[in-house]
Amino acid sequence: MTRTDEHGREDDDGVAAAEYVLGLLSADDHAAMTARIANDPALARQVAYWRSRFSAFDEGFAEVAPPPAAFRQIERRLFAARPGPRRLLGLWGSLAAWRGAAAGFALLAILAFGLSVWRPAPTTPVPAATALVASLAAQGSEVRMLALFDPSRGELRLTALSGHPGAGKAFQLWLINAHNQPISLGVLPEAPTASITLPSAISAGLTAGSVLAISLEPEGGSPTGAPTGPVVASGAATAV
Amino acid sequence: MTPHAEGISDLIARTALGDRVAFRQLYERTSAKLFGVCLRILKERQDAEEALQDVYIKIWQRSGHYLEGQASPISWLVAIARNHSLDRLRARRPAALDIESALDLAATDPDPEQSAENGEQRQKIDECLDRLAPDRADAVRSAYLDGWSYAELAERHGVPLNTMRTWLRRSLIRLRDCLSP
Repeated sequence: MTRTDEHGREDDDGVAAAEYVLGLLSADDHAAMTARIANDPALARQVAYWRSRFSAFDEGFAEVAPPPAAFRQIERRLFAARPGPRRLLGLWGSLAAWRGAAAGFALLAILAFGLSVWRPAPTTPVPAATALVASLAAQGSEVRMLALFDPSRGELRLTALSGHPGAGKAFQLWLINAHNQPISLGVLPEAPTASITLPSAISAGLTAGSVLAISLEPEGGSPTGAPTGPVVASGAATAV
Repeated sequence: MTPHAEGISDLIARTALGDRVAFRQLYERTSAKLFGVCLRILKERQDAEEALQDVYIKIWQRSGHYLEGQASPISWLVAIARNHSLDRLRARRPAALDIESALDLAATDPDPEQSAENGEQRQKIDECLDRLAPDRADAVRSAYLDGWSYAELAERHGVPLNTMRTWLRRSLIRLRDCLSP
């Protein structure tokens, strides 16, 4: 049966979207579809529909162990060409205003700045989730950082006040609750501020009393998944 | 077997932060699956090994684009591996025949859903495939899993190219009707 009504084009697109997802199109047709999808939300929905349905076939791919050297080559391709680590806080550390500032003063400044940036637009009220703040420091360590956590967005914002990891090293951030194993929140980028969006499972565990800690690790982070280097700063989160 | 999805989203999220430990753990937990994808589509081991490297480089670069809840993390990773393998396959194939052809296709109102997959819908595709003739269901599955083109499917099933196109397109329309009543 043939029907060539106003739906004809959409039907053709529906089939073309399925062909596209299956990978049946020639290189040229595939490229043309890719370009069309970018500008055609209805077509993009058709593609998303088929991707979602066909993903049921994914179980049909058997697991095959890749050669042991594969990951080293991936790491080399990704990281070997990168320039050596910059001093994390070179620029920031040179700002005299920060260097001498008392922690309390800095904290207020960060809060005033951070909250004004974070506050959602008035048209989208959110339940008043209590923001948390932590001042991270340790005796005998130059490293001092401030962390501000917005639970409504799962966003953790860090501002470095002083300290740098040194060549070939990195700061790694951990969440510690009571006697549980530290959970890595990631290796801190080489920048004076960092914004980390925590997965909801982790974000739920960051509450008043949780401890945030920074350990000194090899570049790229702890090789074991647990802190291996000294803790250079830590602090408990408190409600603002 | 499919890697346990639990924790994979977190590893992708941490990879997006540049956490190389998380990236390595993500690789350890998912590389056998993704290598299986590359190998099945590309057939040649050397080619699949190179593809796997490219795939994890893409995962490192795109990890920030993964949205939790949008798709299962495994599906997201498999899609990257599958699409990259298909791109390599297309690049090494001779220019294919023009696919545009006026075919008589049974038509029904489309009703695509945008929603992310859920378990019931994913089971349903198997039920719907079962309603097709076995060789046609097999053609759809092997197009997805083996990356076969129309020409390769036609050869494998011993039918002319145009017949295979008509078969498959009609099968896809029936499949959609079955999936979206």
